[in-house]
Amino acid sequence: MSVDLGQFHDVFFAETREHIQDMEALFVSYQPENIELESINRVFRAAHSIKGGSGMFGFSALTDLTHLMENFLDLVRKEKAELTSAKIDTLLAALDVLSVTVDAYENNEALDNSVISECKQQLSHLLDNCEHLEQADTDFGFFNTDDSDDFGFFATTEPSTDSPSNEPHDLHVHVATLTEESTNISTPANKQAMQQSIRVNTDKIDNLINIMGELVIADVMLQQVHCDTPKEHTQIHRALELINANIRDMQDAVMSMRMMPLSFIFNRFPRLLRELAKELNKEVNLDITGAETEIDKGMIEQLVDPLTHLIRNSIDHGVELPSTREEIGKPRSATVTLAAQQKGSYIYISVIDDGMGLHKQKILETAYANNLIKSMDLSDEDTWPLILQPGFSTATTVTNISGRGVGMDVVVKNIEALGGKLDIISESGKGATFTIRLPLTMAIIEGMKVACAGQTYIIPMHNIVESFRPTKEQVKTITDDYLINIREQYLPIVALHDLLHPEAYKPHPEESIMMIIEVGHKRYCLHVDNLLGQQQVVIKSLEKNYKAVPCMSGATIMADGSVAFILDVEQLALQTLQRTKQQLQHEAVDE
Amino acid sequence: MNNQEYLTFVLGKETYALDILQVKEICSYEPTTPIANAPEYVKGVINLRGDIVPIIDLRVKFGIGQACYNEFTIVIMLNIENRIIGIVVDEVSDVIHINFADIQPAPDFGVAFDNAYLRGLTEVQDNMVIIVNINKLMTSKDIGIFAQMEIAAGATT
Repeated sequence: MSVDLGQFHDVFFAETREHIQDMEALFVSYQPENIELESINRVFRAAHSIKGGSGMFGFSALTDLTHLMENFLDLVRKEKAELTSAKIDTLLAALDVLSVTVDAYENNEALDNSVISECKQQLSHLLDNCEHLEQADTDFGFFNTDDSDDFGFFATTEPSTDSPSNEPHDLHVHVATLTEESTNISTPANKQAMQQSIRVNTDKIDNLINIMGELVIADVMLQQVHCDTPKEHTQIHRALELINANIRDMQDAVMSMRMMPLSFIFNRFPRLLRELAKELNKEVNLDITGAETEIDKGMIEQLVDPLTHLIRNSIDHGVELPSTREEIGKPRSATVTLAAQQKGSYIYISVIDDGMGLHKQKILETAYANNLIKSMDLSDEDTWPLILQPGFSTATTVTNISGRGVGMDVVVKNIEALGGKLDIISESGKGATFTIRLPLTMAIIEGMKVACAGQTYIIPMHNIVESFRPTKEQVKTITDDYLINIREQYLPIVALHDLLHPEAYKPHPEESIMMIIEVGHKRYCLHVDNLLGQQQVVIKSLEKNYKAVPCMSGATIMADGSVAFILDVEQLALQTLQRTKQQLQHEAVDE
Repeated sequence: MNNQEYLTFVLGKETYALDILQVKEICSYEPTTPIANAPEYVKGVINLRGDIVPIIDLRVKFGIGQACYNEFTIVIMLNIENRIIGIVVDEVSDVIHINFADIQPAPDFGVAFDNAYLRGLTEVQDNMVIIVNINKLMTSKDIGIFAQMEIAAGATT
C-alpha cells in the first residue's frame, strides 16, 4: 500500500521551522560557564527530529546537515567536545543554511548546493577537531559514543531522558508550548507544565471566527429585543442575559485561538542583538519580559520589522560604547529590555535601553533645518515624535545598521496599519523607551456610531480623542473654511458631509458634533451630525464582493441587520487635503 | 451540453434569461445602505447572512422601464467570479431549457444592452427572450465593480 506522504509535508515544514527557532534560541542563550545538559539535549533532539522527518520524506540535504550537527552535539552532550563561542557561530550559520534549505524544499526551488556543501564542510571540520580530542582521552576508539545507557547502534536515536509522549516524530500532535520555548531554558522540573496542543488548519479557525462574528451580531440584535421586552417576562430576560454572557465568553475563547505568544518573535532577537553588539563593539544584554503575552496571529509577523528596527536603533544610537559607559559610571554592559504586557484591550510592547537617551537639542536643530518646526521651543513630548517624520535622521555617521533616515516613519506606518500607536519616552543620559500599543485583535473593534445626512457610520474608538459640541467662540473662519480652537490649539475641520454627502444639508458647526481624531501624531476635527453611541463591531471586508471604497476601511452589520460603513479616518483627512488643493487650483485658474 | 437551463426575468417590458448556474438565490428587495460617491445604479450594500453584498440596478444603468422599489421588486443574487452580487429586476418568471440550436444571434442595436453582453435571442411560447451573458456584463468596465485596479489608481491621483 502506498501512502501519500505529500499531505504531511506542510506539517513537517512547520515543525522544522519551530525546531530551528528553538535551536537558535538555545544556542544564543548558551553560556559556556553555565552548561545545562538539558538545553544541549533539547538542541540535540530538535536536530534529530528534523533528521528523522527529512529522511522519511527524502529531503536529503536536510538529513545530511542535521546528521552532522547531531553528531557534534552528541559529543558536546557527552562532554567530549567544548561548545565555544566560535563553534556556536558555526552552528548558527548552519541553522541559517537549514532555514534556506527548508524554504527551497517547500517552494520546490533548486537547492543552493554550494552553500550546503560549504556548511557541511564547516560542520565536518568541527567534528574532526573533536575527534582528535576524543581519541586522545578515551581508550575505546570504536565505542566512544556509547557511554550512556544506549548502545553504539542507537547512538543517534532519542535520548533516554525523553518520555514517550514527547516523541517529536508524531506529525499531528506535538507537545510543546511556545512560551516554554522562550529564552528561558526550561528545566526538567517545569517540563511537566507543558501543555498539549493540536495543529489546526488556520482556515478552520478563521471560519470559526467568522461564525463567531455572526453570533456577536445576532447577540447585539437580541439585546435590542431584550431592551424592548416588557419587564414582566422575567424568564426571557434571564435567558437573554445568559446567552449574552455566554457569547461574550465564547468570543474571548474563540479569539484566543488565533492568539500566539510573543515569544514566537521575541526568540529571534537574542541572536540579532548578539550579532549587532559584536559588529558595533558594544556590550549589550537582552532582557525579555512578558514573552508569554498573546497577540493575534495576523499581527505577529507584522511586528518583526518594526521591532527589529527599534532594537537596532537602541543598540546603534542609544547604547554607548563600553569604555564611555564606564567613564560615566554605568555598568560596562548595557541592557536592552524587550517587554510586553496586556492592559485592558491593548497590548503594549516596549523596547527600553539604558543608553544615552534621545538628544533633544540635535533633534530640534535637525527638525528646524528641515522646516519641520517653526520654533525651537518645544516640550519633550512634542519633540520626540519629530524623529518619526519621513527622512529624519540625526545620526552623525550613517552605518549599515541605522542612520539613513528611512525607517522610523516606516516603523510608524507598519504599526498604524495594525491599528497601533508608537510612544516615545526619553531621559537624557538614562535611556529611551519606545512603546508600541496595539489593539488585542483586528477582527472585532470598539466603534463609535455617528450620524451624517441620515446615515450611520462607524469610527474606530482608538482614533477618537474626544467629542464635543463647539461654542461660537471656538469656531474661527479663515476665508471659507472653519477652524476649531480647542485649548489654545487650532485644528482643521474635516466635514463628513463634504466628502460623502455633498448634496445633503450641512449643519453649522455649533449645531453639530466635533470629534477630535488622532492619526499618527496628527489631529483634526471631524464634523458629524450626531453621536449615536458606542458598540462592538465586527469588521467585514467590502472588497470580498464589491471593491475598495474611498474613505471606508470596511463595513459592519448593525443590531437591526442593516449595513454600516467603518470610516478610514486617515483617508478622510487626505481626501480633504486634496479637495482643498483642487479648490485652490480652480480659484487660481478662475482669476 | 447543448441544452442548458436558464432563469428568465423581466426588466421593463422585455424578458431576459441568464444561466441558472450563476444564480445563488432569489430574494425580495430590501432597503440598502447607499455607498457614498458610488454611481447611481449601485444601489448600495445589504447584509446577506453576514456577507456584505452590493446591489446593482440594471434598470437604472441601461435606462430600462421605471426603477421603482416595492414589495414585488426582486433581487437575483448571482455568483460571479467567486463574488456575490445582487441585481434588481422587476419580476422573475421561469426556469426554461434552451437548446443552443434555437439561439439566434443578437441584433447590433434595438436591445438596451450592448450586444457584446448578449448570447443571442430565442423564442419561448411565442415570446422573445434575450439571453444575457451575465458574467461578461457584471465583470465589464461598464458596471465597474471588477475594475478595482483602475479605479483605485484613479482615486489616488
